[in-house]
Amino acid sequence: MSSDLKERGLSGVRLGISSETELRRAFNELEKIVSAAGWKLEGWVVQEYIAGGKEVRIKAFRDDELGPSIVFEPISFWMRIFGDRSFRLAPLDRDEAKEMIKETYGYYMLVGEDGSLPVDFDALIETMCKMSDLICKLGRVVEIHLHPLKVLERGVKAVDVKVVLEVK
Amino acid sequence: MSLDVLLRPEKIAIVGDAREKTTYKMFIKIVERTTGFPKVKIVDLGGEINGAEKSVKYLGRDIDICVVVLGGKSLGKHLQEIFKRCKLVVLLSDISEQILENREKILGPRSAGIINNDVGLRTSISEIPPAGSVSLISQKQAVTVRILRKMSAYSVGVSKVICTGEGQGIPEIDILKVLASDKSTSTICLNIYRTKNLRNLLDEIGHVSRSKPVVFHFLGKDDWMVASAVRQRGGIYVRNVRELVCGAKILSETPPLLGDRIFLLARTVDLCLDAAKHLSEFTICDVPEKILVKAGLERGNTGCCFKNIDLLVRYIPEFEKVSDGIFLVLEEDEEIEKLEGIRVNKTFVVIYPRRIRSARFPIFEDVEDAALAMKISAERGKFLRKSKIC
Repeated sequence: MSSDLKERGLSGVRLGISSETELRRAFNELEKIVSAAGWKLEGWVVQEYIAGGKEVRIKAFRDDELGPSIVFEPISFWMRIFGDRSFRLAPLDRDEAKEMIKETYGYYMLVGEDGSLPVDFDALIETMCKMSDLICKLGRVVEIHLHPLKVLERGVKAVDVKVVLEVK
Repeated sequence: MSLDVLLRPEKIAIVGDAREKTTYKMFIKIVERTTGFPKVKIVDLGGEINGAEKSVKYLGRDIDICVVVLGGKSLGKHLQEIFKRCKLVVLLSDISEQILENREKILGPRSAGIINNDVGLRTSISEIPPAGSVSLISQKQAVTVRILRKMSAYSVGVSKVICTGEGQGIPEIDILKVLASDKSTSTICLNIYRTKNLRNLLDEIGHVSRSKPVVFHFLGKDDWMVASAVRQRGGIYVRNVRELVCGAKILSETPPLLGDRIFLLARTVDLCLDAAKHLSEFTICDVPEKILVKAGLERGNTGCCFKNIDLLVRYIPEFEKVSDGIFLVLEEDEEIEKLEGIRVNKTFVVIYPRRIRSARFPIFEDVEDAALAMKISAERGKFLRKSKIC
């Protein structure tokens, strides 16, 4: 539904809601937009607003030839211009995950060399290792996509997660 | 079937037809090349070659490797008989893959043949590089021929060449396992176009890389993913035939570069500067003033210039103490034979603009090739240090 609205130049997302009153107001606003478009409302998703941190994308997937694999992409200027990303075969150990992050230009952004605050590197490494374990152990899962994953000063939080299962 | 026949074949056979226009030249060439091999049976279905058998029925039943140089129609008729009598069949010509049975004992169709310089087996249509310790597993006939031509030009010493062609009969992973256990192979090169199980092959590269460097050239899938996967497993990923050959040469002829400090030596300042342009990834290191004077060197902007090659040879161990590798650029009129007595324990690369057939260390004609090789050597060194093998 949200993507359909986007196609029409409308936004189905409301950010920075801090009270119940604001939430009700946002519901009403969006209901009006949806009914004006003649659609039936299927439901709402309310989630925590995660401010700050650095955005990265992690994709664990089963490649036809290479098998369980993982891609790490820091979301930055470098990714858009040079396709800044790194790849490894899963499962990963901590050293390999660390190496994967260091291989990208985005590493300097994550450690705060661009003047911003450094992020929780260990939590990011742990997330990558766990994702690589999941793609290796769960046979039915074809792809797990965290896009974006917010790496905060303490811990990480996934804003959006996509899990693709094998169709039998 | 055991693939050990690739390492120690005792009896081989060549089957061809001297009357067949398309394969005649290839057949004669291979027959001529097998004269050095002790036990060879030649079958000429056309009956033109003196002393050759006229039918595959005379082959006997204990042939290790049979190289078949026949075109499609005549080949089909004789294949069953050949399979019955031979442990391994190498098909050089093109043939419809549908009619092929016993795939597990076939190299080909469209194989460039096999070379085993240890036993004098040279049943290949391509140029034969000098004997050495590099082994090559390759698929596409044309690319294999190109690699071997370049290996000959760069004087890369070859131990074994196994071209599997395009039939996907014998898996490359099995050949890799055989070469990993082969004592006369120090470096393995893989040139792969497609494979049944790339993941398994990469895992095997991971095992082999701990004892021998594996240089991997892949013609198929998206580069960056395969490149990362190969490096993760400890292999050396190369993008083209030139890198493959340069990598094979340096890895087989000198110890890997276990650091990034290079001692750059050249006859003139200009040569030093030109070499340094290609070595930007390394730290060009210096020697103490005392040794500099004794060895008759002059410090340039980058690297050092030598005046006397005899003195230079004498002080090589001192240069090794301060660096991880030595990069020596010589001029065309240099007395290169004076380097013959050098004993080196670290990476030692010489650039000399004239072709030298054999030396105890890698000699490149071109600075760019040598720098490329140095990078490959450094990649191997990095893996060895990371895995705590070295």
